[in-house]
Amino acid sequence: MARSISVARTAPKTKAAPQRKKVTTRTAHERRAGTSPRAVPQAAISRRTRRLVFAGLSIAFLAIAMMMLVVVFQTRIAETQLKIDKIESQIAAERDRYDALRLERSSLREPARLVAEATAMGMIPGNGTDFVSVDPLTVAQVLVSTGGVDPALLSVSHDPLVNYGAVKSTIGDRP
Amino acid sequence: MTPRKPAPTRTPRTAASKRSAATSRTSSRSGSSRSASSRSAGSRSASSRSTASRAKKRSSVWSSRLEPRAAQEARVWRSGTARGRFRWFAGIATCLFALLIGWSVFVQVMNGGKLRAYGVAQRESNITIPAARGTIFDRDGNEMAITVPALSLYADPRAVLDPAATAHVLGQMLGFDAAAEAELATKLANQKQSFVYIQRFVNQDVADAVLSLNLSGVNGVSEPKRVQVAGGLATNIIGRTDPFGTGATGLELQYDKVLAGVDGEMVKQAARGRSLPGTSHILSQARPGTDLVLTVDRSMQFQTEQALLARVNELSAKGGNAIILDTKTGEVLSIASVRRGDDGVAAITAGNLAAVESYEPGSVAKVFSVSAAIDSGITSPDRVYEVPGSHTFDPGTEFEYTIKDAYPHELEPMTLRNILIDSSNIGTMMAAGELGSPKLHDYLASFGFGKLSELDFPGESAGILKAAVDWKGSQNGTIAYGYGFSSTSLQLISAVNAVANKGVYVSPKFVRATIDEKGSKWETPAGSTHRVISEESAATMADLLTGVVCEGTGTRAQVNGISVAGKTGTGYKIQANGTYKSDDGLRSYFATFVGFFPSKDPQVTILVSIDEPDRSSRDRFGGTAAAPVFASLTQMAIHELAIQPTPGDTGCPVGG
Repeated sequence: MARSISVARTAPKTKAAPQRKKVTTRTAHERRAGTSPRAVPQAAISRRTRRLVFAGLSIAFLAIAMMMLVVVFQTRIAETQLKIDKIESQIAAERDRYDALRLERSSLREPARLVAEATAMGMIPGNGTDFVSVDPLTVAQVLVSTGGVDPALLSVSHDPLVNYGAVKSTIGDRP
Repeated sequence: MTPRKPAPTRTPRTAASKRSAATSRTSSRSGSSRSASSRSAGSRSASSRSTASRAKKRSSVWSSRLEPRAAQEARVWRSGTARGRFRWFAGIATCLFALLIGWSVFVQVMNGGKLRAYGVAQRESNITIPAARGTIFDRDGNEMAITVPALSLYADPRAVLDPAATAHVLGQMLGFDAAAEAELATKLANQKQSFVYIQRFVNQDVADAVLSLNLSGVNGVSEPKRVQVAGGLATNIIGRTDPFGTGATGLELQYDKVLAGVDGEMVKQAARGRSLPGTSHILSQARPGTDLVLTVDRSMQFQTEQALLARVNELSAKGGNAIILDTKTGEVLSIASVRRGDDGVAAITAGNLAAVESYEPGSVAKVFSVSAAIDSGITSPDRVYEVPGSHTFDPGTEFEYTIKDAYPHELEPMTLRNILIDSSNIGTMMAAGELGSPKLHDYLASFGFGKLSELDFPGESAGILKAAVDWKGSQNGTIAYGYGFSSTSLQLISAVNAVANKGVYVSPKFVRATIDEKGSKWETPAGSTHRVISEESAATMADLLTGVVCEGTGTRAQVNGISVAGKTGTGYKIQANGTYKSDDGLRSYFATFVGFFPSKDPQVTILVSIDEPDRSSRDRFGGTAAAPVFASLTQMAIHELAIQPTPGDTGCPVGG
């Protein structure tokens, strides 16, 4: 015989959503006064925390970025100063070379050396002085044949001290 | 199946146990471990503990109410709990922090200045930036003295491993003798010193060779070295510097402050002996020295020195001077002195003897006494004087002194022109005698005798020219022909140059221009001038002196194609016995020739003097010892300065 068996089907248990923990907070004043803690929603705390964390991270990032910039700038300054030091060393070396070349040039133009060189080439000192007057006609013929002399050339005067002064004013006496 | 660990049995908490737990929490300052153990304890001891805890709680409440505040605080500071430990930590940290702050205040405020200075001194050093010493140029811009970097070798004896061996190697390479090598070894063995010079200003190749050996403790340093170019030309006026670059003689000394410039100062930071890039800064910039442009022409200087040296050697003379002046400006184009040393070798002197040594000018002084006589209008070139062959001063007294002309003659009528051309002492004395001693003195002083020139050259002599009232006896006559006063060669040529320069004295000068730190060239002021004799008198004198060269005692000073004016002078030098004759009866001569050309429009004035030419030689006089050198220097000056004779000037007439 069949027995009806009734099976009471239980309704499926619905999974209750986890309740957020309610956090109670009290200020120091409330703690001293003994008032009951007030409930603060967790969502509000999270939002504030996130903002605080974001702000803190931003400030930290900015601080680190600033420090990195300072480091980079300091490095650049040091590099530039190194270049300046190097260039100043080059200037000093070139000035020394300039003086050495002046000494060498002056030594090469030394009268005693010129006399020795000339003597070695078979030259001898002039034997007295005489003044001869040139026939004006001869002068005229030469001028015609050569086309004359450019007056600008006659007025050219080379003063080596002008060049020296320009160099001195440029390099000065820097270390 | 793995047997499951039995779940801990949970003891039902009774009211007593709860109170006990509460009491335990209240009194948990005694330690959490103890509290934990009490919580985990079984119910066996619960009742007894709750009784104890109640008593304890009561006691605690009462004690908290009754015990003094200090005791309460002491209890608070117990370290049993986290808060207590935190408070201990905070307290210690605060104390440490306060200590730190206090120490910082001590270091930064109370002792700050001293420590800061000490720290700065440790890492910073003030470095002098040496100013470059000015260059000395000749008038054409050729370097005469220049400062260049040179290598000096030094050693740190503390780092030298074997002083004797190191000294031997260095001595071999640097050419030391045994004594110098031993001295170096001694210096290198002195461990108390950290720096000794091995040799300063070493040749670059030698220095490179030494340094390439990498001897321990031996190193090189670059130092500024003053170099005289052109083999030391014109050293007599340029002078020298000491090893540290400070002027010691000559123009180097006279213009030392100008040439030296102003040193700068730089602060440099260093770490462990190595400078840190970017940390140096200049406190004051060095200002380079001013350059001097001399009036001297290097080529003329060389030829003057060589001509004088050759003549001194030729005559076996003791020495000599030669000067070439630009007549109109007083600029010294060349100036040289030669002196024979103790070793018997004649050499160009490093001292400017032409400006330092004075002597009696002899017959050259006739130029001034005759000029004075003509300029004062008491005589003229054509006036005739009855000139005896000799003259005696103060006859019959102890001061009796007889003078004679250079050549013997009887009483002879002579024009003033002939007196000068033949260089008659007595005739000159007669002409100047009419002028009077005071006036002659004033003329001589106006010619520049007896006082320093404006050169202000170190060691320059003013010569001697006594006041007219102090002229005694024969001096009133002998000063007219060059005895009784003394002058330097520079004074003498400047005085003759006044005649050449149309009667105007122009002060000689050595420095033509300066070049400042910015490279700008500045002409030095012209030498001061003053008129001594009139232009007409000067022209007359030039004509008379041309006659001296063409027909008189100075014929060997002639130059083809151009007229030359000049005067010879042969002075007797005072001997050690105070007379003009040595104990063996011999004389020493000082032969001079001073002249200028072209005589119609003088451009160059030249002096040549030969000191003590060979007394046995015929070339011991001004006209024979000095005049030939004058002629060769005149030709040289004509070439160097491209001097042309004035129109119509063909020099002395043939056979004149």
